[in-house]
Amino acid sequence: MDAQGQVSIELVFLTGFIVIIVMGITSHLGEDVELNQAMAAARSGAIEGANINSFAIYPSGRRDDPFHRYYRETPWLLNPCNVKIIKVDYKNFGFNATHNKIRIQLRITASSPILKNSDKNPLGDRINFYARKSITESFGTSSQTNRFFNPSFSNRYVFTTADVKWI
Amino acid sequence: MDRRGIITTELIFASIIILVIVSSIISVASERIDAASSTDMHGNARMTAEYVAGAINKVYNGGDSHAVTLSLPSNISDKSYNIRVNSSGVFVLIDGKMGKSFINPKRISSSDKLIENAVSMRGNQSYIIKNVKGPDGNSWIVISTI
Repeated sequence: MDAQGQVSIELVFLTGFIVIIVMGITSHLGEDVELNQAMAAARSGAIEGANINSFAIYPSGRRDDPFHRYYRETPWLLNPCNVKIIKVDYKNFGFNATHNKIRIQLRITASSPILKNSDKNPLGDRINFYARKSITESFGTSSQTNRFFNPSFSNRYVFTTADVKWI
Repeated sequence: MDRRGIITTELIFASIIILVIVSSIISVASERIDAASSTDMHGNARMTAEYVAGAINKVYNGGDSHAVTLSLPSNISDKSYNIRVNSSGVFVLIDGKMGKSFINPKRISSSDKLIENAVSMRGNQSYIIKNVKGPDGNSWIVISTI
């Protein structure tokens, strides 16, 4: 009977030691994991935005939606074109008292050799929009933000976007 | 008895590490899968619109009495869709989004009466696209179901 349902004192010590260490590094690890998750979500969103630009399949439904606006004002944007995400970077602006979170500004670099500079603004806005949307959906924080997902939130961070840099 | 119900410390460590890695990968993988699905849908929608526009242009360039038949897929990436053709172009509507493909002809009709109108095309349906010379000598594109 003595041999059953027992653990060695070494295991108890070891487990306690592990728990203490894990608790100590969880908060630091959590920040990094959260930021990594947000950046991965931002990259996925940016790629989705770039794909929508590339295939020129735009949101539609109302008269002021992107498709009908382009149809009236810039019909050449309805043509498929090559838009590529080069880099998704960020800058840490430190603690933001307004939102009580650390503020991160996303900086996305994209490339589209065919488009004129004036046409790149709406496409850049779409890339940023989908990057913020993806972060919001990844962390389930749509109730905290507006319909432009600007800014978007995770548990510890608030994300804004700089204008897309075109190269 | 001492050999039963025992796990090694290495296994505990390995399990914890695997759990941490898997949990962090799952959300990233999920995002990527969603992005890939979205890309697939947009790409297929664009190709379907270009397919219809290409057929219309081919018939128009083929001249009087030239005709082609085309069959539309029942859905695009498991989503229902609509295609509308008018004198401006071919419009594909899917999942609240719309794309346009350009066509050459300016006179589109759904019948041999040659009344200019928008033609709706639906999935899982076959169509015949004909080049018909109108009374005024202009080429019309007539799109009708088979």
